[in-house]
Amino acid sequence: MGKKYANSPIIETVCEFRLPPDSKWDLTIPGLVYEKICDEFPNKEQRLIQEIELKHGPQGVEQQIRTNERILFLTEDRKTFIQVGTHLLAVNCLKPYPTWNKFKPSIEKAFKALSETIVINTFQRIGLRYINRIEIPGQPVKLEDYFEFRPFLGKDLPQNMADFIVGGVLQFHDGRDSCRVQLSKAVPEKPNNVSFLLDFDFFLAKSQTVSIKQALEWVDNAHQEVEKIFEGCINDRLREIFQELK
Amino acid sequence: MLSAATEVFKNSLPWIGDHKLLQSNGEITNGIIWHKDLLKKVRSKPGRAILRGGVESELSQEWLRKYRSAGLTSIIENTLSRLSSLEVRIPHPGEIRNYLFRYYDLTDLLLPVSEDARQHFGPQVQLSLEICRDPEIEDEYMVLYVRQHEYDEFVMKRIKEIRAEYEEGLRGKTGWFLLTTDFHPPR
Repeated sequence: MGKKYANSPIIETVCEFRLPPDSKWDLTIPGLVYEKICDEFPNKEQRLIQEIELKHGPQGVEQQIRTNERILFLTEDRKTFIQVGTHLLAVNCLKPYPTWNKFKPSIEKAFKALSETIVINTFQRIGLRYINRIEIPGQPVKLEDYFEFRPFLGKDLPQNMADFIVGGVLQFHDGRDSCRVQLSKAVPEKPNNVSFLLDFDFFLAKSQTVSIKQALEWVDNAHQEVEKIFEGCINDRLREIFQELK
Repeated sequence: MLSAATEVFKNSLPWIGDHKLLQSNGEITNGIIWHKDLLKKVRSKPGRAILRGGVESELSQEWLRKYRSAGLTSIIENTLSRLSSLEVRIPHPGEIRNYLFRYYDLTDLLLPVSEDARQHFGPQVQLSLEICRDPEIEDEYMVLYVRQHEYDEFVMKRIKEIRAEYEEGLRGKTGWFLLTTDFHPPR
């Protein structure tokens, strides 16, 4: 069981399931999914997402920008929502994060609704993403006082960094899964704060290696790993700001 | 053929090259060479664009498959960061965050308009992104104010020129975004 914080920095959590591009999909699917989840996600919204397609053409690889439709099904408070787009099911949860035990049933419900609507054999990608915005009062801030994951500058370099972005990909389970970890500066909510974005995207790196039966177990395991990575990225001064609940 | 969410390259270019590189020289080399005008085209007018140079398609496909994600807030956060690097003042970031989440499709428009405004008016002018509320009709919209110490007759003309460029991009958007001035000095 991971630590719980009164002042959690999580601003968004996303669990997504992407099906292989050659799997069956049609325009009736969002409606059929909605029928199964509308008791908890009654509000509907349509959003247009611009996507890029790369394809081989006569002049080499060409790029086409295309607008795709994504349907959102939102809870009454609009803090949790399900996105259904072509070959995609995602469940998003905005702050305040309600704890994993409360978010997980939404994932299970959405996934069940999709799996009862279409035949799912395998996944191109499964992902569990946690986006944290960390506000630290006062400035300047020494990163080493708060983070165990941070950029390193050698002693011969100027130490006054105006801006940065640092990241890496950690491997799990013999390379089947990966977690992209990224830390960057963000726009603070209050003028005297310093703000950082700490982003974890745990994903299935080897596509089509998880079956439908294993999918929710994969998500549960991903959550445990992300919790450990999060704790590994911060130190006690940040934990004090987050106010651990014991 | 593959499809890839725009947000991948717009916002989560992981550790290899961040969005600021795009601003400075218009290129990211991770097996992909992005044309510097691409982002503008994506944001304003969906259309067709061909990448400059070659694309190592295998690497690109694998990269895009792995790193695209359906998160929404990171796009908003990265847009705000880029506005900040353009010296756009955001006195109430929380209000902008909430507005952009509700009217998510405006996010794409914010940066090119701010870039154009900064380019047109120069570094000495204050650009301030705020939410404007009209209590009479219970409406709210996002405003990018241009503020300077002295105003001449050309200010509104220049503002209208920039507006004309993004007007088409505003069509069909769920929220509203206005570039204007209140003729106040910078705050």
